[in-house]
Amino acid sequence: MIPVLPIAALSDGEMTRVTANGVDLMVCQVAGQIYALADRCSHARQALSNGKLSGFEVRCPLHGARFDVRSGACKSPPATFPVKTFPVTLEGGKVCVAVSADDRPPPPRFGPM
Amino acid sequence: MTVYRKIDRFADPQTSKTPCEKAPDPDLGHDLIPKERYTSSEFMKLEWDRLWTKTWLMGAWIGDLKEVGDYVVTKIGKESIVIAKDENGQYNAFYNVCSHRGNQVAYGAQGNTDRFRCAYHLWEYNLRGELVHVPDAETFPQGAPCDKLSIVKLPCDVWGAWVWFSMNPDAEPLRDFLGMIPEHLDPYHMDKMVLVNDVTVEWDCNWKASVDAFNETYHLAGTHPQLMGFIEDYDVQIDTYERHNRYLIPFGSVSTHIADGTIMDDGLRSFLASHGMNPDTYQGDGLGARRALQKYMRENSKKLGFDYSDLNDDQLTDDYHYLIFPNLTWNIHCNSAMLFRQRPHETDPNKMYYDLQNYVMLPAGTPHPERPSHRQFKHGEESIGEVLDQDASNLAMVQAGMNSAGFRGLWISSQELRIRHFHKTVDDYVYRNPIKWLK
Repeated sequence: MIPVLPIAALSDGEMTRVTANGVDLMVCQVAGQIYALADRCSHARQALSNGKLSGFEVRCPLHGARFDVRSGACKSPPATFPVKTFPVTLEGGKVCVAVSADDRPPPPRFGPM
Repeated sequence: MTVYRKIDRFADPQTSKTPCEKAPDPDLGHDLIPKERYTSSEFMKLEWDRLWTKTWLMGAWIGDLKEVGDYVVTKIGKESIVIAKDENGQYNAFYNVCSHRGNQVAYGAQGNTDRFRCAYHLWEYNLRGELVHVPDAETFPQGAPCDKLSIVKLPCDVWGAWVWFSMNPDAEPLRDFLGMIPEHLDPYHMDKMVLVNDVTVEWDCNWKASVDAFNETYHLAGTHPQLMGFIEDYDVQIDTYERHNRYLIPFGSVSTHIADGTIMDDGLRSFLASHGMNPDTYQGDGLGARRALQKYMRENSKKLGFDYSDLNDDQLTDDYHYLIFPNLTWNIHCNSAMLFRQRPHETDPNKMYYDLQNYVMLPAGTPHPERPSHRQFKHGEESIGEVLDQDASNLAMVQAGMNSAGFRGLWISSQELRIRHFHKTVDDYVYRNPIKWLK
């Protein structure tokens, strides 16, 4: 588990971007629970942390795809697939996330060139 | 904000085997493209009668027809067509239908056989679709003459790595239909590429919406923002020919829509690496990378295991993207070809089949991988890659728009000239000049 930010830094209904092991994460607090997701829309790689958080749903800033922050489940097009979520624990006043360097996104590619 | 950077072209028109000079743009006007052609059953019927059953169509990859008796069953609209290689090494195309009671005679997507034996009453046909055996033939008082009851054959010919067929018995020769295509694409030697991916996705849109989607680069910023670090989407050369068209998209260069062209992002670095060049050895910026990569590939082609001698410098990096009318769109690169074949649904203008095939040129000495098995699924059931998932996600919504009373028709930009040219050609077949096209 990697400490990523003080619990006190995040109030309810807020989200922020952190980077751990080279992976960009969106960390948010909703209804007293803290969640961590890949900060990358499954559709076009936009940072969800630049979008809008409404209840348990985060909306992508560019195309408006929505995801449930609890499960990462895709709730609307143009995304089709879920966003990856990561286990969160609270230790010593810190938000800690289980994330490894393997969770870094592959570089954008056009096709099998 | 558009910066209007010009992208240098390094292809020499004097020596390039693939013609690279800009073709004069036709004056096709500025009218709306009518939306009804995407949704109307009447238009779909006209397309079937005057387009699909009149043009040449790509039927099979020759890699699937190496041995005598190899056959492929290809579907187009309501028809199933058999393409088979006979004892003389000739390719034959015929309808997949038994002359007796109409059952199909070839089963599965491909296979090898010496006879097509109908599973219903065991009538037998050879690899040319000729009837060779009728059980209890004496019980047909009218006769069961093999020469009269052979399956209807179709014009069939080969170009590139594919066998083509036409449902038009009076079709012009394939080479006449293809026009400039062989001259443009033979230098890629696609017959030496191997098939590494073969899927069909059922999409909820008209087949033309899919052709349109791949015939303009205007959608890059909206639909594929992650590619803007290494693909130019504005200074793109568009060429239209009689029926077919193309555009030449510079790859390996930061999009002119990104003001700071010096950035080398992960996508651009990966693009260099995928062509054999270590991005850490490149000291320049995001606008010079394309030329640096071209020089690197030219100088190191032997070491990389590729023969680029028939390609111009721009072809080493860029996407020479062709539409072979009516339904083939291709991203063609020096080491790969990504083929999209858009097939109409049997009955519903709101549905189509999207065939995606990836071909790659392997470095010399690399063993060929096993042919991947064909898979078919509905959009969303599986990813077909980040970029194509993005294209696909637009199309069901576009089709809904075509059905909306609130949509006026397609309002087309000069960046989308190929779309206008494609629909003009559809019109030539369906409405205006059938005599010229249909002979």
